[in-house]
Amino acid sequence: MLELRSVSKVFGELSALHQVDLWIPPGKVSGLIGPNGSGKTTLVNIITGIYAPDTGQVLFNGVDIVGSTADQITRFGVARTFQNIRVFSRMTVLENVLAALISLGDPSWRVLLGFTKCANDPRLNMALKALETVDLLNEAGVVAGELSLPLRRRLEIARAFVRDPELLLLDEPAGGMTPTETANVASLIRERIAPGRTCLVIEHKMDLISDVCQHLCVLNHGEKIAEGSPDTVLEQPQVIEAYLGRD
Amino acid sequence: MPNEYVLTIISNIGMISLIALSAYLLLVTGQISFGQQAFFGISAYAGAIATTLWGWPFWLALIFGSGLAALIAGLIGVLTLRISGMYFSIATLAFAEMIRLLLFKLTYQVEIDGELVGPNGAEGFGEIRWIFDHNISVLEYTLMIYAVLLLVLFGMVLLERSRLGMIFRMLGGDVLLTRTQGLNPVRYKIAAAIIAGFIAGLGGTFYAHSFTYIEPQIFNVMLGVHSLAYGLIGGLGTVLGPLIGVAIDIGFLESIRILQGYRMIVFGGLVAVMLIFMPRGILDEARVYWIKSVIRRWFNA
Repeated sequence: MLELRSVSKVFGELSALHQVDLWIPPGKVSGLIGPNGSGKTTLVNIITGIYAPDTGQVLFNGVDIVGSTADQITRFGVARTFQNIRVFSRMTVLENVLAALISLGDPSWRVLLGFTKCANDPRLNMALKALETVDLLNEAGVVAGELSLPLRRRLEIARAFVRDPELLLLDEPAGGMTPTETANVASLIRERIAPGRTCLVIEHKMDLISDVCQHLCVLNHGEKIAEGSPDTVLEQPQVIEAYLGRD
Repeated sequence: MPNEYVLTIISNIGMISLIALSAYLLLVTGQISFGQQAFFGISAYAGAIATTLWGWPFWLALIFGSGLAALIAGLIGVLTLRISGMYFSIATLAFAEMIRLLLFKLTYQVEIDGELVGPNGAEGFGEIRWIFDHNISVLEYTLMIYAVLLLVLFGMVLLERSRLGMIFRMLGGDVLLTRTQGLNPVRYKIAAAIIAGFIAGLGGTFYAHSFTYIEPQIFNVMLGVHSLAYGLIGGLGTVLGPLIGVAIDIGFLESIRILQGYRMIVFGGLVAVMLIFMPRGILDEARVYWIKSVIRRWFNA
């Protein structure tokens, strides 16, 4: 599915990632954790083509996608959400999800000049179904900027998975949420989003990670310090030290 | 029958609406262009040359002038692809000034009925007599302008409901997010520049034939600033926004002529106050959605 080989990225004097190897097993939910500034979001930005790595390879289904643009990588089958929520705030909830479907299939001029909300367009049904999955169907006509934070996170998730991507990257899906809201997002991911899909969840919250992930990778200071099943990884001394510090 | 003064104002509103729609389209895509007056000017000269010097029919000249404006707009779109925000605005302003200064150098005159006719640098381009040669009344010409304006409006309403229109709004919202939806912004920014150039061009050819005389100074930065202000006053939520902006601008300015030299100060102050309280204009996206939902509820009831 996705494999990173010796990926490094330097910003000025700062080494954001150093020789990171990563493997995302297909059909499972993997987690990527690490303290603030450990390079998690940089890694996601490299996978999705927003940044190019200085060295290394990003293999998606065996093909090196380094050098591909962000829009090409989306069309290859990678979709993402953002740590700092990004929605088209002046468009409605439904339009936000429809936006993700424009480039699905053949983005010819005939398709582009077609109406966005055509009743017999399968894209409309796909969008409505995605909104139903994340319990946002009743808010379909609401302007996205007026949604509360948890609902905007749900909208981002709907927009990311509506294309049925091969790889779904969720960057802090519970960022800024209360414990109850976090539990709701965890159950949404576990029960409705993850089944049958390859996901990478980037998160700080261990309860969410241990709830939804079957595979875990830990970054610290831009280097991978552990990888494996959540139970074993979270007990490793270097992981505990990275999160809690040395005695 | 409205008198000629009123008709002239109405036809002015129609022609200026076209450049307002042009600037509006770019504003929707998140690009503030201070250069749409250049495409208005290019088409004014090209269209007028086509009818006056080459004897082309008006409608063909209109397509020619607007097409040329669209082509150059596309080229400028390619050149400015890598810049955005303030830098894009400055680049478009610089380009428009370059065109205006080139028009000062443009001399292309042909002898017609024993007289030299055609653009002559700073002296401008007079004798654009297609309206008189074809006995077109002010009312008929106004109707021609509004027929084209209605066609453009109809096209833009369809565009707003289309996926391409949605992409334009997505670009205006968040370029990176648009990219991560699998869309290459380059293609669509150039498309927007070409369409906007064409629409501004339509206004330009009409303008030249309406006033029968044009000079480079007409196409200065103030025309560009006004064309931007129309959309920002009327609102960026609907294609009707810039038209409301034009009607307010021209209608209001005409109605306060009594204030003479002070009217621009009063108008500028009003615009500034309005933009503080309504930064995306009277009919911004939120108000348009609200109006639509009220209408929908009303119909359902």
